[in-house]
Amino acid sequence: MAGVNIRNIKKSYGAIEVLHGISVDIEDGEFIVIVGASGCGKSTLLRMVAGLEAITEGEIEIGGRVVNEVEPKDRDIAMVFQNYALYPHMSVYQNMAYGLKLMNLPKDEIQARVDKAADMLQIGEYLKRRPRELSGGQRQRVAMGRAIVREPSVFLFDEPLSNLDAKLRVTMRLEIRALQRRLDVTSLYVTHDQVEAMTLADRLIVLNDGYAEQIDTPLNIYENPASEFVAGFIGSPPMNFFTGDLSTDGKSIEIDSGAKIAVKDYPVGDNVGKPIRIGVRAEKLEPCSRNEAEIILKIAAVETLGSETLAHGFTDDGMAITDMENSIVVKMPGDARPTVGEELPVRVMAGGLHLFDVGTGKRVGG
Amino acid sequence: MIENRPIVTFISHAVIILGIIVIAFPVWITFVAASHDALRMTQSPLPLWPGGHFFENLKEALFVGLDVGGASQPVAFMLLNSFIMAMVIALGKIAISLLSAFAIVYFRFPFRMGFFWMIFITLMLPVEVRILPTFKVVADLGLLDSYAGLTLPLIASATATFMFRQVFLTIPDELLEAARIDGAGPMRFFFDILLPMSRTNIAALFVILFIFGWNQYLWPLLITTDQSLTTVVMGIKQMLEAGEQLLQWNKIMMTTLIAMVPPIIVVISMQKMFVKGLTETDK
Repeated sequence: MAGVNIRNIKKSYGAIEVLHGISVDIEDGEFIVIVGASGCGKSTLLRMVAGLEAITEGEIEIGGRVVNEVEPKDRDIAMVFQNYALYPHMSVYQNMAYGLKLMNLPKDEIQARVDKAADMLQIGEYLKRRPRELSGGQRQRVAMGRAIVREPSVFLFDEPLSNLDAKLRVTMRLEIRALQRRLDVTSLYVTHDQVEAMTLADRLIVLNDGYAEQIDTPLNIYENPASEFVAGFIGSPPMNFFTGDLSTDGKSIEIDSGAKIAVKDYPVGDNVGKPIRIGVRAEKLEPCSRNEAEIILKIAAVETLGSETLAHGFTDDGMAITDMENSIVVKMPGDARPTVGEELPVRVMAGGLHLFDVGTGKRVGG
Repeated sequence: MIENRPIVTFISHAVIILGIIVIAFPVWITFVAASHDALRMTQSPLPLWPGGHFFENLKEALFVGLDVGGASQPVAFMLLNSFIMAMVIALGKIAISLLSAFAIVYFRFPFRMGFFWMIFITLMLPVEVRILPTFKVVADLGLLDSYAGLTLPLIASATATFMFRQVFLTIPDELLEAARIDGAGPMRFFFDILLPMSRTNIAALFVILFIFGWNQYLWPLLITTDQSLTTVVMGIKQMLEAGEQLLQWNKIMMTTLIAMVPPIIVVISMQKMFVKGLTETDK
């Protein structure tokens, strides 16, 4: 059992710096998810904790011991890889026992540990099989078993579910979370899937281009995203963004199409009279009557999901089919039946407004 | 193919049967010649059907040998020499190229690619091309007339190194990383993971290299004068140079027949692994 302290970690490949100084203190038993788009450096960060990548600058501590120069095997960690990385010529049992054998544990101790892990993961009946004879989900379980038997103080997961199909991913996600709770082992988990990130994490690290944009609990991040990037990345459907000008009295924002959005009591600071980015989540836009409306959308597409209906619209007529990623999404109840082409007047619900600086993308106010 | 035209079937079968005849007929003649006595082989026309002296010839060739210019070596002894040479060459080549491919793929050292290309370039320099300098080196090292001289110069192998490099490149990096986390050092990883994962490729290469070693002719001829180091292939050649004496075709053919057996045994016994090693891509 151990916490992990990451202090101002930087990574460069030649002259190119890919991680620009990341610091986080991870408590014992905490489940931390590192999330970000591909190429943001999240795997690199994890691999530096594992000891598979050299640390250019900064310090990593595991259980109070600086491990910068410590070999992976001596860091008291176990890692689960995206492609499982099982030894193809060994049986499931041998795969799980290999690391223990190299630790020179006595045979009966190895047997006991493997049996216990196999039992926990319900892979007992496959112990004699080769990895190639197993399905994707079973292989993933074996890979986790191999991590568990080491009884490490930190688990590292590198996108362990991205090779599985959607349904299995949901089940395995729940299993991983339950397993981690039961073993109470500090875990670092890398994913690009924000749903996985939200559901698994005690705390999230949102990485963007080698910077940690925000480190907080999933709910705090959802409710108070620290930047436009975080706001757009976390949450599904993604947050709606507009550009507008904050009025000189700081009470309303006029967006490009001429519509006015009330600022209410949002602390705008010294941004009065300046252009500003507005973010509103789909569920914080409510349809209303025409005279109460702040924005009038022309619906371009409707997604009926049963439990909810998503209406995609634009504030002007200049909507193009290829421009859907910039559409404004309104989340409506499942029985709502908006039709394409119709106008949908909406307003921002109380507390639904997020303001971001146009230049830096950082959150304005609280 | 779904196509079913009798004329195509006929032609393709005819070609195949013709091919088989072209390849098998000389072998048949060898077998027939090996089963007659020496006298019959001097009369024409040459026999096309087996005679009754097969086991007699077999015994004499294997254990007595031919009287060639005074020195006579039983074929069994030559077989042993050939076997030792082929085994040492095949195993030596595999061991050396496995290790050099391991170094080139998994270690970062100065001039790594330089070394790789140096090895690669030797592909263009088989023994026949560099035979004089190689002979000089071996002679200066005092390795003439020894097993070491017979095998060492043939062991360095670019082909096998290159092949193992390709095999290792297909093995995912995560496997190495998983092994590192499991606590395996480089040699542990080599023996526990890489070797077993390349075993079919090793088998395929062994078959090819064994036959390569077995069929060596020019080099052993040059490097050895000592009768005790004669290999089967050299032996056959010496039998044909019997000078004044009458060529004992029945025993020469018997020796040829015997010389064919070990490669066949190697191919047949390793056939399954051989095919797998050449075709398998899934790692």
